[in-house]
Amino acid sequence: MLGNIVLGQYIPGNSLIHKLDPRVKILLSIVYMMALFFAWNYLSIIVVTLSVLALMFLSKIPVKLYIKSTKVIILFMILSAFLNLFYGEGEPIFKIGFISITQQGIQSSILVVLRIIDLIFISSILMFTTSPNDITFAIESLMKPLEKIKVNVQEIAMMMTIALRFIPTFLEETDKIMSAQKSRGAKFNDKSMIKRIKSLIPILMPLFISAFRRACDLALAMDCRCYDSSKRRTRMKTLKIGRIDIFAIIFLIVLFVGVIICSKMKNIAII
Amino acid sequence: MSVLEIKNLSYIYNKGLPSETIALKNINLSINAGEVVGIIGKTGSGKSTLVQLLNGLIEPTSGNIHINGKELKGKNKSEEVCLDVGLVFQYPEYQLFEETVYKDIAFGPRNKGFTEEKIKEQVYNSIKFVGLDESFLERSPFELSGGEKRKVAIAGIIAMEPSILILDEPTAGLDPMGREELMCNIINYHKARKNTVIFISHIMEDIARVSDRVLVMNEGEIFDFDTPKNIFSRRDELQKIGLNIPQITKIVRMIKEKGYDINDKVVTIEQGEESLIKLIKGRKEK
Repeated sequence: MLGNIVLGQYIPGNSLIHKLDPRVKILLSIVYMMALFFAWNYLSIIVVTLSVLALMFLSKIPVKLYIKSTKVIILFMILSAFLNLFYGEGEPIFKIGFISITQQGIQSSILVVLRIIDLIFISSILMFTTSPNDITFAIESLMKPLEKIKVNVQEIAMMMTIALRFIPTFLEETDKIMSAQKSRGAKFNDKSMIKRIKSLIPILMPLFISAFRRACDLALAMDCRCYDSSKRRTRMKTLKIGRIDIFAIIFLIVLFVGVIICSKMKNIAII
Repeated sequence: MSVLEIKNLSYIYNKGLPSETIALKNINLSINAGEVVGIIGKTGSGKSTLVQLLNGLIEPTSGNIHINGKELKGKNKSEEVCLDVGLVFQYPEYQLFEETVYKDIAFGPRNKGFTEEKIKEQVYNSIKFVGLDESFLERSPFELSGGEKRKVAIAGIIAMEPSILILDEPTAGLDPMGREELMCNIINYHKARKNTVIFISHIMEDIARVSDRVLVMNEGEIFDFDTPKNIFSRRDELQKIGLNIPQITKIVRMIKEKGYDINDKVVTIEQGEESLIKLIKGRKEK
């Protein structure tokens, strides 16, 4: 029942994007998002979109999956496009009563939609090509500088790893508890909202209890193996910046500068 | 009269996906009212899938199930028929959630639509069946010991007055005393209510002691369905499919293999004792 929920979105592969260092991938995604903020005209957004499409192609992941990932916020996209349509200034093209649509309004709604799509594609590239564990390592590594201000980065990373590791376990457990309560006649699809919320108690209570039980067991097991978060630990897999990573960084810098230059240029009428 | 009829039942997990696995293949089965049926089979042989199908938690890929003559499908599926089959899951103590034992046991009967009076009666009766006294009813289920929690969980199912009670490894993880007590409770419950009991276990002695018939599952198919005596006389075949026979049966067989004239069709300690006494008496007379 809950088994068909995809955990994380990682799709194993061997593409160039998969091979990138996860730290570089996270940084690049952030830079990309910043670039999107600067892309306020057709030319710059087209540059960004084309490069995103190129990355999607390089990731060798079916385009179908990328399109599927945009489905979640399609409503949000339509709404923001719709609102932007009426907030343009300048000469109206179309007018009914106090509602007017201007050239600028059309432009900003197209830009907004493209930006949202790009944003989703970029984060999808990151999520599809990086395993949750790699993301955790990368975040730990990126947060290293915080150690200087006495933040225990290892502890945070360990918590993230544990949280990720237990998601499938708890899903399985939820499934079991739901089956057990169903066989005692519990209903989860009542029409009344209050009844439906109440029907969650028989699932949540046992789930919380088992979560605490598991946490205690795990803490004990870690203690037994002398886990100490203040000690420096080594990893089996270490992250190394390779040649493709350097290429990726150069590509991004060029792109970022390019987008800024493009956005300063006068709007070239494409449509 | 058969309380449960299964015809050409198959079940496939993740049908159409690369991870497709056939859990049950073409099962045909008929269980009589008032019978105690033990199910054995090694891990992954389809035992748990079978009992979940009987409860309507999962729907068969093909074939059908009739309970008390009603098909377990469509409209009937959700209510009456399903709740007529009480399924106790493995480690049922993890399903407890109410503040008091009373409320927890009352959860099932209440869902089944019993009146408050009837619920009360059912709760008091079922707590007795599982061998706990009434003082437990006001306690929190979370302060009980593991064995007591399990008893409360089983009482919660019994209180629903199912015409078929199914237990999936009810004694797993209990200490020897707890196991013994629980088996006795189940036997007493069956004697009092005369309903059908189906239970899965890996402990051959328990199976031999309480079952009228034993269902042996192997790789999603019925290997055999017969009385314990007949089943456990097929030791070599059972061992081939990863199962064993009760220890007493082994001992008596060893005695027979030494050349003594002993009745080796025994599956419980009592029967073994009887056979041995007969053997010794027979030799004395000679």
